[in-house]
Amino acid sequence: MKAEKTRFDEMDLSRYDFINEDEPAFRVEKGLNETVVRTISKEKDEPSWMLEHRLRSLKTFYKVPLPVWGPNLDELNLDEIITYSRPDSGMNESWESVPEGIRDAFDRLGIPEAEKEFLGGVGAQFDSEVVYHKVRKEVAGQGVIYCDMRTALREHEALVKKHFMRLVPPSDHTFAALHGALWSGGSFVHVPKGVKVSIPLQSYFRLNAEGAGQFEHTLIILEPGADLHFIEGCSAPRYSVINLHAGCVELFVGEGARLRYSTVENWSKNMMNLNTKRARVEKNGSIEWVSGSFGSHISMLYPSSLLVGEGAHSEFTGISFAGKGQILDTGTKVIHSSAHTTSSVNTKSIAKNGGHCITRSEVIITKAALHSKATISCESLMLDSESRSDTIPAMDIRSEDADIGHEARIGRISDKAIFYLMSRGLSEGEAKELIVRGFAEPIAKALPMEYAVEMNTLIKMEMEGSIG
Amino acid sequence: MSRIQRASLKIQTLPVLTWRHLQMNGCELDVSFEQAPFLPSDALLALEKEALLQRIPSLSPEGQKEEIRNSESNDGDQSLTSFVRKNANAGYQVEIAEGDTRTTPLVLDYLLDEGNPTLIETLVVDMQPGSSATLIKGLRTSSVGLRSFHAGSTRVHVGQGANLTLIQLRFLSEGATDLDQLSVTLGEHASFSLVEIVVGDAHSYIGTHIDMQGNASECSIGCMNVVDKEGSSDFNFHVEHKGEGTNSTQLVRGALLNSASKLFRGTIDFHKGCNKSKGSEDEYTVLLSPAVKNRSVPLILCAEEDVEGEHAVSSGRLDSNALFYLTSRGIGEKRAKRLLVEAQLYPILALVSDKEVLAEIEEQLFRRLDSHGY
Repeated sequence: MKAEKTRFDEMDLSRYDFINEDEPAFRVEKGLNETVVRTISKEKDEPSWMLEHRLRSLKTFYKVPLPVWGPNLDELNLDEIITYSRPDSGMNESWESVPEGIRDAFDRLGIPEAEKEFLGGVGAQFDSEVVYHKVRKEVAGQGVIYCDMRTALREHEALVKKHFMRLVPPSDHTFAALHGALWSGGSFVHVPKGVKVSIPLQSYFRLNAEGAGQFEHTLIILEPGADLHFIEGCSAPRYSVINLHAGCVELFVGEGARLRYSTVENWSKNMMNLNTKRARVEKNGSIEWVSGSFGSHISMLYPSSLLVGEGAHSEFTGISFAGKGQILDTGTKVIHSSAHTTSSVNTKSIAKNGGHCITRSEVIITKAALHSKATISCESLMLDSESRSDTIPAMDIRSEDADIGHEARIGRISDKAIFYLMSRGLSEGEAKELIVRGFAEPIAKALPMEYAVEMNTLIKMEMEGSIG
Repeated sequence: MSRIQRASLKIQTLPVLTWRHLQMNGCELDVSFEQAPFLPSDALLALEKEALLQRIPSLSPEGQKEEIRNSESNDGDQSLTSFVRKNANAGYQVEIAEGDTRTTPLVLDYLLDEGNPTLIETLVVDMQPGSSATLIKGLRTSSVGLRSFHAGSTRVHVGQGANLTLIQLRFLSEGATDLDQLSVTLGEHASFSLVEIVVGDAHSYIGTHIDMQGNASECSIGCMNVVDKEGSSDFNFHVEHKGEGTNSTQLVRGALLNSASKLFRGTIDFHKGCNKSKGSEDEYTVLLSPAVKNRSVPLILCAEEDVEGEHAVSSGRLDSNALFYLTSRGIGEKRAKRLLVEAQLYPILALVSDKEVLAEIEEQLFRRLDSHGY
């Protein structure tokens, strides 16, 4: 009798897939036009330079074409997207003040509990606005500023103006321009010189509204010698229409500073996740990206590191898991433009049930990047033949005095490994789950314990199914 | 009467695109060339006389075997194939009969010189089931600085159980433009080996498409590129695994001198249904000057679970520890450097069993290295 293949069922999304029925206090009409952009700016009572920035970005958006590479984005119809939706809540510094429905949503996601246990500060965004932001006294006492972007624009305008969309200019690509026109919400962090924040800060982005877009902006500035771990989380309930996420993250890592930026992303599978993340790293500074991509219908996400200072370092550790109906086009870019810079890239991808993983990377070594080193490793796991996995790395080396190594592997779970584990008493399903968890281990190890558990739970849920 | 012709070509397209700003997705080239007949050498005429080579009476695909026509329609670089068909001034067909095992290599040498500065040629190779042969195709320029132009379209079908080794030599100097597209289809248990040798300072664009339709077919590509001065080499190797149990390897070794540049595109493409197939790519480039440009985009595309694919790409200077070790053993610095460069290129040189050919490759190679103190 022919053995039936193992079947991996879709994930139980009940923890993330719930809808808050509260009506927003305000939302713009569907679609994108100058009136919408002006309305958003007016709603936020912004300085005139920001309105001008938005309008310039809108003009750029109309000029910049959609990418010709990558997944097909024809399903995205901006005429059907509500680009700004303000919940019926102001900004709060205690969970008690947050309206009950919204508070319940974040309770179910475990945010207040995590805040109590191991976070130095939390920001929580619901649709287009941040509804909660708080930083622990001891962290604030170090001089750390952690607030929502709206507050930052009001209270730290000069700092925001100096850095806002300087790393990701609106002309960079279509969705950077769209972000420049429509951005709303997000977090601002400033860590003073030499300050080391020992407990992580976290911002959580929840997109609740059907057919809506979320365009939060995260701006983090680490002064020389500072140290921070920042965690970003995101989720949304599932709808039958397309939702859009086009956020932007800009990270400025000063001389000798170190920033770890961790993300466990679990967007619903009707989400277009077209996010842009970029870090600029000064002399002897270090950026560490830890990235888990589990959700979304289509993702195009490539955190980038610009190593501009001598001895700057970048590390990227990422995993993506694409199931039915998902195209996860993820990876990273590193540009070495100074001497003695180093980078390492370690990506893992898993494709199942017709999912499509694309791992894309770019490493550029400029002429000035003497004595630089880069290593890139990509591993892909195919769990069935309905799925697809593509590896597309690119290297551009303009310096003789640089060492570059790249390796990639693609394959299935080894029959021998399954046989061995089954001979030790594990079922086939348990054996496969164990192997996949082992495959993802380098990423889990880079996350704080609680998030590693969360990621393993997501993997377990993805892997659970009937074993034939 | 000769006249200058111009054409715009779109070639070397990646099977799956990457970021546009990297400028690795393909080439759009404007070329100019002198339209003139190409007069075959005495050696080629001798092969024609012996009926080992047949001139192709018509360069159109009609009238050719289905497998050959298929290789053309699948080559992914129609514009070069069309250009060659429209402008060809030379064309040969080689047919190795069923079960015929040739022990002596068939040699096609083309020399670009002042009398023959333009070669636009097509070559069709039909390896019938169970046959075996080695084909050596050489492209040389007579003098440095000669403005010359080569465009080639080679289509190969290797039938069931047949075996072909194709060695392509490119010793082209500054002033030469070289465009080439090789398209190969493999039948069941067929085996194809390509050894691609590039030594010079021309601008070469070398596309290779291998369609592994036949179950248990095998393909190996060995490529050595040593590029000097302002020269450039641009490779686009695309190996499609379609049959079950197919096996491919791509081994690329290079050295860049002076202001030379190289772009390597290598794709292993596993189609659905190619169970138990394996593909590997291994590229190393030694960088011998601060002004060189070295670019690589090695792809693995996979639509089948039960396969194994891997690639490795690396580049760097000569290993200073190894250099120190060799010099500490009494070997002069120049000799030690030469040994280290040779060691990097050796895996490809080892694929050439013909002593005369190997001697010519080494002569070309050492002359280049000598002029730079290696």
